Amino acid sequence: MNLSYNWLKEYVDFELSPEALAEKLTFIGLEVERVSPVGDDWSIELEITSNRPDCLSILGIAREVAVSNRTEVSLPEYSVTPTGEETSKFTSVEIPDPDLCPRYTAQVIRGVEVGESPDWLKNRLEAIGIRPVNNVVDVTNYVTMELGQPLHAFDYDNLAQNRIVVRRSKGGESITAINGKSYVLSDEMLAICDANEPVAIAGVMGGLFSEVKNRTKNILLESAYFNPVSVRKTSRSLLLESAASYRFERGVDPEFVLPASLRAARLILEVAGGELAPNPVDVNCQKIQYGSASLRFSRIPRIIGYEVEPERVSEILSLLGLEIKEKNKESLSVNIPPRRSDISREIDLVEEVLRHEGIEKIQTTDVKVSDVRHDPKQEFLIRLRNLMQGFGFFELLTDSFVADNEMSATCFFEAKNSLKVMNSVTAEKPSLRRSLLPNMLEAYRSGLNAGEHEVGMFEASVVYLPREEKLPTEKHALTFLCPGCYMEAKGIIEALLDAVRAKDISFDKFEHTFFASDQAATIIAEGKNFGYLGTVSREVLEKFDIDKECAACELDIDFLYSLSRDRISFKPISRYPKVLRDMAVVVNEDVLWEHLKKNIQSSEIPYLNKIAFFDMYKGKQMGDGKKSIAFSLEFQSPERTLTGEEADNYVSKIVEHLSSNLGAVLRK
Amino acid sequence: MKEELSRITENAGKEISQAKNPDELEKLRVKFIGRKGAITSVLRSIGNLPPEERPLAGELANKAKNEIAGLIDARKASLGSTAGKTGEIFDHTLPGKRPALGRRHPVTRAIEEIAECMMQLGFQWAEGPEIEDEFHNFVALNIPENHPARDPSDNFYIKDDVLLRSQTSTVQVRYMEKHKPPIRVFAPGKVFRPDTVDASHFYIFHQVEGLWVDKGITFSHLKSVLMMFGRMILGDNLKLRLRPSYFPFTEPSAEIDFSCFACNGEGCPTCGRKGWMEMGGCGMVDPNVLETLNIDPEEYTGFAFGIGIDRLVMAKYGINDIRLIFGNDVRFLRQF
Repeated sequence: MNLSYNWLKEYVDFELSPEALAEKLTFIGLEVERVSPVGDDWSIELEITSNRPDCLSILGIAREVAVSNRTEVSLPEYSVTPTGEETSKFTSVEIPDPDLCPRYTAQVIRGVEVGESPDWLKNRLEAIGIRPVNNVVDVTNYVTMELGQPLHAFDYDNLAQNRIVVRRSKGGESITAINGKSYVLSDEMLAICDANEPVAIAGVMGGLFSEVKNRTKNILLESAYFNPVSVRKTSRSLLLESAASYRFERGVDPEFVLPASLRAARLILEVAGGELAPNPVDVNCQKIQYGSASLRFSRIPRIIGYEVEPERVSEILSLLGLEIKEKNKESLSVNIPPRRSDISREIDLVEEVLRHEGIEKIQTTDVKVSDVRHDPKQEFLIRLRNLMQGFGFFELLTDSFVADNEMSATCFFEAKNSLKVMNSVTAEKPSLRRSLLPNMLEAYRSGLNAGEHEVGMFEASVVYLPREEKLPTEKHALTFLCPGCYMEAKGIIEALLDAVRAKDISFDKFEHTFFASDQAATIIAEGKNFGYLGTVSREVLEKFDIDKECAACELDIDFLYSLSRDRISFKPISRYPKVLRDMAVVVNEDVLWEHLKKNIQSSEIPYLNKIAFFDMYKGKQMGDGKKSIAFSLEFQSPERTLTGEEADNYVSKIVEHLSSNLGAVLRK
Repeated sequence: MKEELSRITENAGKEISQAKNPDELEKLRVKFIGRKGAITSVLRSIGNLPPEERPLAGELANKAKNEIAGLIDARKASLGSTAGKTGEIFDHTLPGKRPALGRRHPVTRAIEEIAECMMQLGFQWAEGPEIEDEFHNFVALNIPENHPARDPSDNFYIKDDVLLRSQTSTVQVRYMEKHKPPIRVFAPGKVFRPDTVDASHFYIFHQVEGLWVDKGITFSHLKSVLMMFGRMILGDNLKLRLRPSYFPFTEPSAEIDFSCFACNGEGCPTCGRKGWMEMGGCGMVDPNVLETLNIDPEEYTGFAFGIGIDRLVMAKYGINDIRLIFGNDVRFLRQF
């Protein structure tokens, strides 16, 4: 909304410079974005909030300034001297669709001289960034901005049968608008038509054929109230906006429909001459409804934190045009004119008082202390992130959207098909991610391309898993990519699981196109898969244009959190020394380390604290289908020193046990 | 002889301390305590002394010999293992062997800092889903059908009544559905709006929502909490400014300005020479919202605010382009 400083002064008295005015307007809720000099005037650009359509005009702003200055506005002159035959002799208005057009007024001015506007009119328009066209069109634009009521002038002689029908469009009618473009109207759109066809898109834009040009002699002046929802829908569908549609969408002031037309008629007679027919045609004139509300004075400090004298409250409200109906020591009630559709309740009146008494007057106060519970889940997430940082990884914040292809639709967790948004700003990425890996791979590649040394990356964030219910599951996933292969990823995971004290975790072979064959596993606890890791497959690396080997892992944080609740329970340190024994056994190739270890544990040899793998070896001397696994055993008793013989004895028992269970042979 | 021994020992000490490498030390060893060394010569000359003076002299000479040997050993040790046979100088300024240092993303770190701050101010951490239904994103927030805020061009709709949340106020609604006042919560999280992407706008950003509903809560409490929050995050000099505004779910409403971090309100390029930075919106919770959630607005009042976290982070570190936050460029992340 653009305002001219000089123009504003015609309607309200104030002693402020343009900058001071801008500051004042901002602090009563009419935010000024820019003040720029234009000739000997200043243009003031405002951002008006959507609840104040009454401020989309010079008069509306003037009213607010008047309240602020504790004075009154001077309304513009709109009396006219009509002559000749009644308007109804020259035109008629029919409204088959009154739900979309509750009121339509038409005036007829005959014998105008269309030409250049006088300087005063051109200056006013230019100061607010509107290009002058001709004196009649300029007056309609002038009054639209002055009073906030959009007006339109038709070339009377170019209207078939010189009459107006306000109806929904039918059967794909089209119209060329004054911007030169052609629009096809749908059956829901309201059109201003003559006897035959649309001559304007109601509330949005006039038609080219019936526009007022230099040779126009007679004018039909439209001023109406159009249904805001209908105008907005039409404007959005046609992707066509105007100063008129902007105002109609938000609701114009029903009380000014006719006065605005009279004001324009007066000005047209002044600048273009001609004769105005008396008694405008006014269809569907409904009684103007006033709202009402009441305000308890005690409510004010309870909301804004400071008291305002009842006298001052009355003053503010009545200066705003809210006539005081009743008043007593505790409260008052007001009538609310239709232009203030944003006011209907007590709280709305409180806001008006705050705006004009001053938001700057709000004081700070003491804030009492409160008990706040720890949030262990949030603390867990913070810990996970800090651990990953400690392992040398960089934390990412990736897009929630992914591309719509098979790779980006990767999903390890259970879910139905990816969710898609209906209108994506990023057309290439309309789907919501079910895994953090696709976007992470892109970031990884960018890092390599930028010549950066390979760096591990991680993210702990949400993936969207659609399900039967209306809203999807939003699962917290911890995901990372690291240089290297399966073993590097497994090392990180094992360290992480240790750090959060998750126990009884096992790994199971896993095949998935994302991972290289035979180089992936699921992470299992309590019989449930909750994580997936592996060397990233060649195929995926190619698709993402990454030329260095890397490994990935994605796990369910919510599940991990449930595993990590162990409290620490200190175990006394044994005073007696450990006894260590290293050994190697030859077993079949297909014997897994975990298998061997569990076997050793099942032998139930006492004092066996630790079994640690340290080497695996396949060589010719072992024979086909065999391999050697080397590990160390640690024995320790809390009560006494174990002897070498005892340890040797245990070792033989273990060798026997492994031999009978796995056919293992001790390697000398 | 005693003086002679002292003199030799003193000289030896001087020369040993200037020795630059083991080779030089070896030469000094030979010079002072080798077969033909200075001390050794003195030892031999003991034979020329009267017999009763010999034991003492021998003792002194041996003591000197040991002292010098000790000085040589010490010097050798302090030259250390890096001094090779060729006699290199140890460069103590060479880069050390560093462990890998990971990085936290500045925004997730900021969320943790904000959480710490809000908890100190007595607010509980609350969370809500990023994908919401019509009720939580609009109806309960006093945004009726046909309100411009519902426009398809301003929201990411998945279905007619399922969309990505456009503000964290949805968490307010969810919390008030399950709890009765007093309610004092904050909720940081992602919000989504189809803005055209440029240096100050991205279609995903982060907000932190604050909500306090209780008996006797007024706009003064709101101003106080905002002031304390601002100072904890951006520093003690921070100034706060409120401007009346409009949101469907608060009444009265205001926009929140913090003094520009870079110029403390003087005006500079960072703040477009305004001296102030727009940080978010706030207001007293609209009675319609309270009523929808079965909280009696006669008994309880409350305030709510929503502050942009990305903007806060950009202000604090001087980041000039919001796209960097989601860009995940290692050269950006490395700086934090």
